[in-house]
Amino acid sequence: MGFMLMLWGTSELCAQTIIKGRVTSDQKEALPGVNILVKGTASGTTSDSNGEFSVSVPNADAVLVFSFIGYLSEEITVGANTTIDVVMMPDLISLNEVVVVGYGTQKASEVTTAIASVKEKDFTAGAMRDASELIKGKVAGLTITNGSGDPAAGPTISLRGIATLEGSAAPLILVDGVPGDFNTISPSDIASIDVLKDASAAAIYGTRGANGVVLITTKQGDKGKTARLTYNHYSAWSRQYRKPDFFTAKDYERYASEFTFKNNFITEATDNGGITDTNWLDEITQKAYMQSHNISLRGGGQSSGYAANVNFVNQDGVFKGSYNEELRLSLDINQSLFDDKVRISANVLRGMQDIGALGDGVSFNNLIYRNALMRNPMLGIKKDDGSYIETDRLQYINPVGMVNETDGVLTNNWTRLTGNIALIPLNAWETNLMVATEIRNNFRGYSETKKHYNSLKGPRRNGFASRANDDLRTDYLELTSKYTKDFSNHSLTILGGYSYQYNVNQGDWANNFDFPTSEYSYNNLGSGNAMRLGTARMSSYKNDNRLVGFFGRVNYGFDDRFNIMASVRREGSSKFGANYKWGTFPAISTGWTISNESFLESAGAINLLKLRAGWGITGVIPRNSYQSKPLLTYEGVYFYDDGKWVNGLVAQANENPNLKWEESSEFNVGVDFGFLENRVAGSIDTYVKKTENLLWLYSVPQPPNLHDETLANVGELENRGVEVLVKTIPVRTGDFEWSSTLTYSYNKNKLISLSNDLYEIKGDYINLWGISEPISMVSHRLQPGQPMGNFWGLKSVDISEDGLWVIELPDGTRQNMTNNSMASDVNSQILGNGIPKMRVGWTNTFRYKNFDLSIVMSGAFKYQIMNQQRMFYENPNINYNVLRSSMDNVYGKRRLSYLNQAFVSYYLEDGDYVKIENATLGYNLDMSALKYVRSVRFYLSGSNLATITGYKGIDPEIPVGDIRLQGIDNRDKYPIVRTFTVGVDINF
Amino acid sequence: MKRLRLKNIVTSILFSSALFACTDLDEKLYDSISADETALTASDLNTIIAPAYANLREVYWHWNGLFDVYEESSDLIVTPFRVGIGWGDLYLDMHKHTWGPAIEHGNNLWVRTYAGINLCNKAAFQIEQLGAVDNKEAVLAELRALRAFYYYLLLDNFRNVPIVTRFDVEPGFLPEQNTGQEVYDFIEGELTEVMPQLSVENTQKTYGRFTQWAAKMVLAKLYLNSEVYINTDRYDDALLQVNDIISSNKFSLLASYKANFAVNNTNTPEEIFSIPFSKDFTGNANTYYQFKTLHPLSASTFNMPEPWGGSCGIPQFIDTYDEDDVRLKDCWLGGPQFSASGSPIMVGGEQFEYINYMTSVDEAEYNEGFRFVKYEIPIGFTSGPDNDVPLFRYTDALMMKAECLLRTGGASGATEAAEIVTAVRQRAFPATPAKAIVSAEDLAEGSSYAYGKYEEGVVTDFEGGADIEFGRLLDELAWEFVGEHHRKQDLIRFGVYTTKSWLTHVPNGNHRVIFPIPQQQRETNLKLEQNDGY
Repeated sequence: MGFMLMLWGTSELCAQTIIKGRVTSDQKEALPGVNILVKGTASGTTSDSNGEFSVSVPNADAVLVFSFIGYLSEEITVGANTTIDVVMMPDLISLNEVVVVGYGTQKASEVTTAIASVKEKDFTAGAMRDASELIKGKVAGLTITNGSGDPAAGPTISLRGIATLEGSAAPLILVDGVPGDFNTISPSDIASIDVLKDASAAAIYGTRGANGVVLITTKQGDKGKTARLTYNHYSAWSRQYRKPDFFTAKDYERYASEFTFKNNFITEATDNGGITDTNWLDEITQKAYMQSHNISLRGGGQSSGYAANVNFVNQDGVFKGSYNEELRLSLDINQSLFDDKVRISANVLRGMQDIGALGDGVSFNNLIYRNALMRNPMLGIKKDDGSYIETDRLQYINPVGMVNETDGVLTNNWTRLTGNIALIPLNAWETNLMVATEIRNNFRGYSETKKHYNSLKGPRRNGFASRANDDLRTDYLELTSKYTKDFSNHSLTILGGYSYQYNVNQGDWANNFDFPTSEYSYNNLGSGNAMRLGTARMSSYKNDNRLVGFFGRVNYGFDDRFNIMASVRREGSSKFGANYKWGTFPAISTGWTISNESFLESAGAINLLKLRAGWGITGVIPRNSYQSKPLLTYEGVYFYDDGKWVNGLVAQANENPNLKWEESSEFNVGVDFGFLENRVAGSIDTYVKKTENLLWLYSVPQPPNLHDETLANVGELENRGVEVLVKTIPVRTGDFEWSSTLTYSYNKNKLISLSNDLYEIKGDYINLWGISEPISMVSHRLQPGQPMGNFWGLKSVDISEDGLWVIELPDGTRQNMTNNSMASDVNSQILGNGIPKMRVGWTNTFRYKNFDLSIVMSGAFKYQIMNQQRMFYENPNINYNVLRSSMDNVYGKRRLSYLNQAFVSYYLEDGDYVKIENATLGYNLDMSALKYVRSVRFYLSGSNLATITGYKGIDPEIPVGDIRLQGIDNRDKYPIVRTFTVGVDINF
Repeated sequence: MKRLRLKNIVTSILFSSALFACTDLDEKLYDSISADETALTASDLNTIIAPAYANLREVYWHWNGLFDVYEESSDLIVTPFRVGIGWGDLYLDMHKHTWGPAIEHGNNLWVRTYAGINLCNKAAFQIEQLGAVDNKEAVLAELRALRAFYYYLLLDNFRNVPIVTRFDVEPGFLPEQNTGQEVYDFIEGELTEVMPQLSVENTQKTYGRFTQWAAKMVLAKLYLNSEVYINTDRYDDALLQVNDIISSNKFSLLASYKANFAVNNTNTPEEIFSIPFSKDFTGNANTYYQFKTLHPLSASTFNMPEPWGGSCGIPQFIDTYDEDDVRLKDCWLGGPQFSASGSPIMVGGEQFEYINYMTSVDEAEYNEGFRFVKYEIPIGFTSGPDNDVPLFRYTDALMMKAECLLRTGGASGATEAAEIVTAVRQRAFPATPAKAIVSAEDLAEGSSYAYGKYEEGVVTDFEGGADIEFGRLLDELAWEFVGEHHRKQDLIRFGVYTTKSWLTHVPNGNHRVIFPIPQQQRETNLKLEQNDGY
């Protein structure tokens, strides 16, 4: 600083003009510390804490260069001005930004592992359901699948394919270092999301890092900044994006003359109140409105800072009775003491959520949707006496009755308290203790009135209610100590730490039925008779587990050219057998910044070229506690002894005291690049990830085993892939800028083995049943040498003259299908694969004067989808309503006359798609005239605007419930919605 | 200096906290108990043997279980595809004898039966560990007898199965497959060996337990079907066993046939071995038959939850009943239907009626076929029955005796057989006692079952049953034991199972007398060879 002032002093002598002005961000925030240089000279200054500056220039031709980390440099010719106010635009591609890594941060230039970082300025704007939507399509290799319009549904997330069979494919999500999920905090409270993609980065998190780690950093209090108040609001309207095209009452009239339906719908309607025209789907759906309000306040004094955020969301689903209401609060305060040698911070986070429950303990009752689709459109809704029209068809229920005569809620409350104390005795040495606790209280209540189908028909329960509580608590303690040393060209950082995590879960559940009145809903459970008569049920549970880790990491850098990082974590989990509780997870990675080598410094077009290579080991823990224990149960073991019933005791499962973690080892090679003043920048990564000791419920011979499955570590799985990120700024002029970010990922998955000495499977494959009644056929097969997600079944190639499927057998011969039992292993073959091999995300942002437009697109390629709506509803010979396409000729020849619904390859379709996920048009109002308002932005946003695909179903984006059954487009999937949003952001 | 001191302090804090850092990873159980922390003592004997017995309920009544195996693959009961409802599917594979190694019924039977065997082995292992226990030898003998019964089920259905007699085997141990002869010899040897140690009582204390009488029933059945199992006829040995039971005078026929299957049928003098059920304690046992067979409209007849309308009696069999035989009404629900309060159940303006007719197994209407209600359904039934399963009834011992006498006893044997059958029939014809009388000549006749393919009420391809040796006795067995895990075995022994047609079933190979080794089992135990023909 002194040097700069001196320079300023010398140039003063020959100065002719003094230029004054103020530097602000695009958010109208003062930017202190901006470098201001007179181009071609060594003279210049920096802006002060109010963003103001004063600099002298030799003449009117002088050009001032404004530069600041994270912002695009601005060059302004002085001309006749004496006052120059500069608005600096954030740099979309910043290499000097800070990246959050496990237990600390790193400068992007020093990163040696595969890390993707998305800052707030790059988040997708609009009606964001949760944090995952902010970054969807922006991180290569991170797959975020929504594919459901349920306002209560979360996304399914996976990173770099699927590396486990039994565990979860979801990455570890840490919110400010504490495990959480994408819904833990309000999207507007997030400052950045960083993704640790490879094992060399994630291994510091040991057993939790096998699927990668997502680090969410929230906005913190700003020391020494004036208070900033922000209000955000949006209103959004949603509609079902596409509806399945089922027969209407008129269609039946039209086809009655030429086709004999087996469903006897006309008779059924005549016998039950006469023929009408009911659009069942319309009766149970609605146009959904959503509103969100967010207020945040941030600021601080000389040595303290605070941040507070309040977020309220009220959202209806497109199904009647489906809603989500959420209130999320957060408060963060921090204080520095003793010349910044001690820093204390505290954070309180509180979330409250009410979700409409149309089913018992579930937000979405798929039976309602299913019945609306397959119900006779000629049937009326109610009889004259007001009761619902029901028939004697099995599993065939009036959906309107189910919606109206049901009352249910899912309530989730979460509270997180975090305390942090940092000791910084030396500038180079920082020790940090974090203690946190998270308490989740979830409640489920559900009731059916006496008019409900289940009260009058079906189980005839005469009113039903259930309620349940789940209390989950997690305690965390994390102690880290970091020492940093720079000497000449060398830099060294050493980190050591200990972490402790304790989870305890408990809850209870009870139901009752046969109530005297419907008025009690689920609030007076004791008034039902079923508990007294012994037919109601109740239960409770409690379990806990512990995870303890010691970890260390060394970062060494030389001359900004070579960087190396090595880490190790020694971790123990209570969930494993006595001899297998502890595991060691090492990692090492290195980077060579070629662009800092002297031989490339002259190559002006190359701003960055860095090679990276890393290797690490991570692990997966099974979901449940006590799995290595020989648990016993009294359940179902009643024994009649001398006139009395007594309890027996039996083993719950086959014991496996040798249970241990799955281990993934991953090798990653990458390159980071930046060309043409970083107007083209990005990275390319390639990886091989091998998971060993796969946890799986292996089929075991019985005898000698008590049960026919044992949880064991047996198989081996491999994922290979390539990820590309390219950020470009194709156009940049004073008024107009176009920036573009493209992500591409390719993943190839292969199951290597399913056997070992103890567990051997004849034929070495496992068939999986992924199709519900009445089809109940094998859908997938796991087989070594093949990828996961393979569809397995009969290959249909034609239709016979009498309307039966013609199946091509594996030996190439053809045979007519007369019975579903034809689908034996000898007649079946691999028909496709449900996991997309390639995914693409493409974000384009345009800025013209005060307007901005961003378009987020995503796509997935090379995979097949099992179209279950067609499989279940495109057969015209079934007893229920069917799709209009059931009248189409199969293979262009004739209508299907096969009587049973069945899985044949005819219902597998290519899923390739490109989607416009979101488009947002914003306008920034000029607020320079107003004293207290810094900026106002209005925007219009639309999501799910268009999908380009050959897929005939509702949506080719398939959420993955069971990771082993990929590519099934469930017939009852909550359909996706198209949403239009109007929003405003006001900064005070 | 000051800095260094601070550094020392912080360092020592760090070190000490690392030392005291929690590394305790023992698991604490709250809602479950673990074998390694649960010490069993001699007073836990019931706790130990309970699972081996409780498993019988699963074998018998769980979904696609023993009941379905014996009845739905036979000429008595079928689950057709019902228009507007569903079914068909694998249930028809049972009817048509088109099952493959993947059929659920086969694997269920295997898995549940072996679970019983493993539980017997485990209980024996645990008892051996206990040290001094009263009646230790008797309890171990009882477990061996129960295990022999499980093996008898395997022999009857799969023939060539592995024999495992120990619980404490090496990890990864794969049992060797045994031949039918070996399994047969094992069952006979075990039962013969433990017989003296088994209880000879028939009291509340022995109810539901494996006594000598239960063991003799198993031996008798083993011998009765000996020709099927090992190509050697041993009717005389079977006769010795049932004679022991009969001459013990511990058992007698109930006055009412129906009472054997009533809600409160515990510990009757006719029961030799039963599987006890209780709606209060075994309510979760997934007993489903009431639901599987009755149509939803019958809910109001019993004030029960709506059933699912699937299986029913095969019309050709129902036609064989004498109209005065009370067992027809005791076992089958047919004709116009009434609610519990006695008012007619109306549907579409007409009274709902179960008709003894079937369009076809692929297109059966909702009301086609009589429904199997042999086990009493109480008014207000919810789920989980109270009716015990009388696995071996005294009547069974009598009828086995009759069969043995008929087959080997010459003219005098036939006469005695006729007397026994007559005695058994008496309670079935209270109003017309003359009809109960059966002569030796009657028993020499063929079956009255109108075998042949059946479509829309007509036997299109008449085969009849006149050529079946002792066919009349086979008919008697059906009338008395329908729905009592008899028919498959009886049809095989009388040579009908794979030779005659009924409803849509046509003979589909002699190998069908046993099931294929389930595919899942062959996938996990590479030593298992598939049965011939599959």
